[in-house]
Amino acid sequence: MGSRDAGSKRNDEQPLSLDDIDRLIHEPARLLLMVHLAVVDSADFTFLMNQTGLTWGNLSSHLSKLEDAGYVEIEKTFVGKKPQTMAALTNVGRAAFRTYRDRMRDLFTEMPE
Amino acid sequence: MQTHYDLKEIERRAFRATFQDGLWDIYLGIVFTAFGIGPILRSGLGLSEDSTMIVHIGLLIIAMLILLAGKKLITRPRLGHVKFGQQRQRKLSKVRIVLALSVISGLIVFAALAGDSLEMTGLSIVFAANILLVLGAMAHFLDYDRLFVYAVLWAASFPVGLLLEKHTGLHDAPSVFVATGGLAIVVGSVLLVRFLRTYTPAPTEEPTNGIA
Repeated sequence: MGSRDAGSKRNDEQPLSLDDIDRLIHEPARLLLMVHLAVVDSADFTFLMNQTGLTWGNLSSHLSKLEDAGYVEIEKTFVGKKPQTMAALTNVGRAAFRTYRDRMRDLFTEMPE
Repeated sequence: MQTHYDLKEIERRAFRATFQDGLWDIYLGIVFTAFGIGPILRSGLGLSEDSTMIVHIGLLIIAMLILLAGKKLITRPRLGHVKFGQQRQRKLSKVRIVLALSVISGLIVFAALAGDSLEMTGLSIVFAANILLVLGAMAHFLDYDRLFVYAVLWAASFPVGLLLEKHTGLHDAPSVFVATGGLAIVVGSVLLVRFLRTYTPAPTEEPTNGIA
């Protein structure tokens, strides 16, 4: 995974390569999750499922990976007697997402026609 | 798979999802209908001022109960829970300020309306402008486009009612309120049915991969 490297500073004089892209975020389902979490403060599993179209199992698995990388924080609470799992991007996750977005933009800008 | 991510649009779409249930339409529709029901009951059934006031307040309470219970028992289990960012929170704060100003100005207009019937035309314009400004601001800050339509309809209700009264001799303003309020209730009900068909209650959260 390039997730740790992607967050580090890149020498601006070196041309951007695909290795500079954070592969943990680059996976389509996780990218979709990161995009949705980037625009809100936090959201529960049901909301993320509805917005992304992912299944419960997929959502859980991808969030788990993002949580392991320190990009997402999972908080389990109870609303009445019902469990509620809220997910939110951490500061590291927001920074990684910004970096990913900038590098993707740069990658295509630098690509010849 | 989506190929283009417009973050602002995604945030807006996520926020707009909270209006897909039609509950706000039903709530606003009942509130507006309540304004017309009182005078109709008074003139049609000969109910006293106190009785019509009880009906009016009762309808407002029912509207609030439908909104709160609906959000808790219908929307949240299906759509999930989300906390929006600071920018959206600031917009919501503006809506609260607009609503507070609306209540204050509404009370002033109501008191003025109750006083002098000779000034009805002028006051109807003030009333219409108030509705247009308040609901228009809410529609803008909440990204709730249907509210623009309701704002125009309801703002027009009072002057249209007065015009009808002038030309037909009948006191039709309350009927116009009920008709336009009823329209919002119908729209809300259709949206609610569609929402119930689209979103099923989410599965109860179970431990999966140790996080949910």
